[in-house]
Amino acid sequence: MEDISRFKCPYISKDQIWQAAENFRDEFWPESTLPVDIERIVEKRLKLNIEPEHGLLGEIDIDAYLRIDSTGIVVDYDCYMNEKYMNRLRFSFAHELGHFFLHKDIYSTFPIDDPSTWKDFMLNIPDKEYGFFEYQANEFAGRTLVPRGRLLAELKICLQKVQQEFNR
Amino acid sequence: MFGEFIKALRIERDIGLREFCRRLSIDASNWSKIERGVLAPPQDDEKLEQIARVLNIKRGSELYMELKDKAAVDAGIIPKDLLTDQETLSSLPMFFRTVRSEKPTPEELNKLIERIRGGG
Repeated sequence: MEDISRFKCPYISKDQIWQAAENFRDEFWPESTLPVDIERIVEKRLKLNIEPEHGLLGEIDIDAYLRIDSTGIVVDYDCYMNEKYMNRLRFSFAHELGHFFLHKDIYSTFPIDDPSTWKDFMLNIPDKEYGFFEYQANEFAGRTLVPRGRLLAELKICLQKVQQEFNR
Repeated sequence: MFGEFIKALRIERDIGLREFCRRLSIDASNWSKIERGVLAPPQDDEKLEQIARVLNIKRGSELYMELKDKAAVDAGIIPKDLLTDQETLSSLPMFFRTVRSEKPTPEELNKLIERIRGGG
């Protein structure tokens, strides 16, 4: 097996990630309304399963994950059913879609053919490189859920309101 | 068969998994497994009628009969006690999103593998 400790996360620039998020929204959320209905995209448009699992967060500290076979996203049952966690969950879905669109082919480069080699892979990826994968998925999720243009327009309106208050 | 059939109708009617399970007072984890053909569908008439109502399927209609037939055919699905290595591997995570944003520990990985292997 290839030496996993020397494994490097493929470099994807911020601009490329942001563009990927824009392209994703254009293709799968052409309505452009906010908030982006990420669960609807997952189930209806990407045809991925949503698999709530009891105890995922409490016992293993995992919110959500994309299955290796890319057929579904597994989520913690309580997070999924409780309105209180809705925003975190929306980010989790968008984050997993980041892995789906940016990192789906990573596994094909390693001969991982059973749970034991998967575990070795997970444990031996350098922390720094693992962090890059997570960072890229986070960037994708943030830009997917919060379109920059819309955010700037809202900020401009807020700033104008603040200025008007000060000029009174 | 039953699972795919119901999931297609549910999605066609724009009902998310959470909402569907809430309306039926059923566990979303189990229902997701039924839709994926991992668990057998309910067999009692009352539950099947409730499902039909949520999906706006008229009792006695062709679609209703199809729902009942498919539920009967899939009654024989027996959940596996232990998944094979390949089945377990395909259900494992590509990456994790953990609360502390760090790689999981070896113990957490073992726990996850055993859960998936044993739980289907």
